[in-house]
Amino acid sequence: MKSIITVLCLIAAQSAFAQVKENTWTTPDNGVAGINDVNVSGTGFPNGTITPSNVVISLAATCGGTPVATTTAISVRAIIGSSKRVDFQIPATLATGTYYVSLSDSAAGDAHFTNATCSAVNVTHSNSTLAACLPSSSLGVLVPSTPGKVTAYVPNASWELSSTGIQVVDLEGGTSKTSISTPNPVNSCSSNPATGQTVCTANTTDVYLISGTALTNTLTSGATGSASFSGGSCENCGVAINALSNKALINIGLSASPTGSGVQLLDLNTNTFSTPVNATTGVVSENPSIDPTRNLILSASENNTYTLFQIQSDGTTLKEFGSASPTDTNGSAEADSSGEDCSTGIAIAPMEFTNDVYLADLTQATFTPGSPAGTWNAPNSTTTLVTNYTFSAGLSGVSVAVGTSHLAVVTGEFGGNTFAVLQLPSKSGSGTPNIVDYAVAQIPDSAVCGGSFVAGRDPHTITAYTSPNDGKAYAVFANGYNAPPSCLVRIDLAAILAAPRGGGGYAANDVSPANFPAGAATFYSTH
Amino acid sequence: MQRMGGASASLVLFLLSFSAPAAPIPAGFVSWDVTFPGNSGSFDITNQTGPNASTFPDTTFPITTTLHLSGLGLTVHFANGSTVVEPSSYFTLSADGESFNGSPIAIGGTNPLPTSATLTGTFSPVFITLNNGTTQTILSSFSATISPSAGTTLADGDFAIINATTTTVTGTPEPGTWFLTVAGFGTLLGWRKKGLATFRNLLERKGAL
Repeated sequence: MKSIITVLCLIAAQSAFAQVKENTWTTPDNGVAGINDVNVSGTGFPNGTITPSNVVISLAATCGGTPVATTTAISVRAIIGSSKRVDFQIPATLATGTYYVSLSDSAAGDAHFTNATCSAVNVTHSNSTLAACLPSSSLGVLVPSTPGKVTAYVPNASWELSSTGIQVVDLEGGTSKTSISTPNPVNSCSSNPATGQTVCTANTTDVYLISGTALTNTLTSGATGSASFSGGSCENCGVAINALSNKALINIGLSASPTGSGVQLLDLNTNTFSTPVNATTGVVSENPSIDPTRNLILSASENNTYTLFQIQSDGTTLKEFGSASPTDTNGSAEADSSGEDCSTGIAIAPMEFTNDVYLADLTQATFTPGSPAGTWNAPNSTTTLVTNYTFSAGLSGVSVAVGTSHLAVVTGEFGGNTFAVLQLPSKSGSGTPNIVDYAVAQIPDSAVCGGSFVAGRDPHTITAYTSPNDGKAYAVFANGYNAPPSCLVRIDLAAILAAPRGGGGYAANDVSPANFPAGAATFYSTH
Repeated sequence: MQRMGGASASLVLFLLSFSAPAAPIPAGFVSWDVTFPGNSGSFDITNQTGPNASTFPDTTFPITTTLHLSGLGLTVHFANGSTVVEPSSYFTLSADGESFNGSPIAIGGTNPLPTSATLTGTFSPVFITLNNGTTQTILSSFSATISPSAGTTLADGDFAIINATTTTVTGTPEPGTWFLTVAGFGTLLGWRKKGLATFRNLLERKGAL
């Protein structure tokens, strides 16, 4: 009898809750797990205060189904009448897919409600803005923001090799391989997922605009000389894309620059170049990259400085800031490339000829103006990766699969097959950034690559992306030390990090060949 | 004279019952949503008509006809004094088929924050049904301006209601409207009879008849 009364009381209490009619979809209707906020709006909210932390947000595969993740609201805002807007961050644990959001509040101290309907939300693990947050390495990868074909753009040349042409290879959603002819040897490609356009640079002043597998336009950069690096020299040295502004960054040789190098922006909306800007604090990075939301160009230099160019609000004016050198175990600071997890603002630079990785939290950066360049500083750390493997030429190339995973990859250059997967911090804004975890492994032998994998030359035959199809973080490597790349290999970064490590003859963070996860490496021939 | 005044008032009430003044009906809202805190935000349009309308007797968003928005234009003013006019391609149709997702606008680093934004566009259809069963005709064009809820720059969630503006009432009049109609007609007929008799008397006195 007592239990019946209790149940009746519960039913009565439940029925006394306001019934919220949620909109059919959230606003916006999609977001990146662990990164983006979305909003549920609806009508029928009760009068009175609703405390955001009391609002339970459940996400399930069906409306009213078993929740696969729950969180609480960040804010609750009154709109008009009985309507409110509830803001929350998409939980990082959600896999790619469509989920149904249920709101409720039964906590003491505020107005209570439950939901009569659900709002749907599409959850992804990256988007076009983040997918383009890549260093200007050799490889370009065109990743759509919704499920579909993922395509790699693979130059046949490097700064030191002179084969012309580009290989276009499907990595996901297709199996096609196409060659694009170019008049001059290409060293770097980068794609804009927002427009589908790819930009490639030649070792000369040529800039190639590519749509699909068609070379649609050839432009001429403002390079006036050759920039010299440890890995070679070039007039155009590489390209990175700002997907938000649809502008390309090209690192170039500038004869009038004190370092012989600089950068130039190309507006892809109008195909016009801005005035080249000298790099005065150090030679421009072998692989600069763009942070599109913080308006920064990252240029980790081989000349004992980590330069940041601040893009001013006109979109073209750059202010240069050099940093105190990130010292490495060699007592110098030869940063070889510039990566960033644009979702957190954690910058990363591998230090050539060492096993050192430098991190800095750009969200805490302070800038001191100066002429011709100011200085910047931010909490930073340098970590030495302990391994019994060898990185060819030390740690040289870097890429971050920007998205929910916060996974990065670093590797050597000019041969070798060793790489490391780094778990970067998922948060920034306070304290010192440190590598959370790492694993070191070697690319397995494959007949597709003719046996052992031998990495290509500068500007680093490596990139990374988050798949729009399965949400996984992948690294992509190309071989081609003495000839155009004949193969690509795609590595499942999380699988490597989850593999057993250590064992006889291996360091504690090494993944031995025997422990290399089956299926973690996928090989593609380029021809 | 008093009778004439009463008739006029009835007439006005009667006419008003069929030609209501323009009145706003909430159809949704445009909001500044910081979807990537510290990095980027977007101007999104939440369409609260059709399946997103409130359920009667809740008249918060009463339009049960799905209103489609087109010809969208967005003018955004920023804290550095610049103004950007976004074309309709700034927006992509949401999965609900009626709302719109805006493209990201960077707000980190040296990027200026928006200070206000005005959305313009067109509704269709213009004949709508409300959740109380009545119908209305609305103007096709709309405009909504977001201003800061506090301070000088927009904050996450700042919004402006998108209102549909009515033109005339074309639905079945309410009982009160019927009463006014009948009363108006009755008064008019009475006044017309009296007026004709007075006019006739005047003419007779002047010997015109």
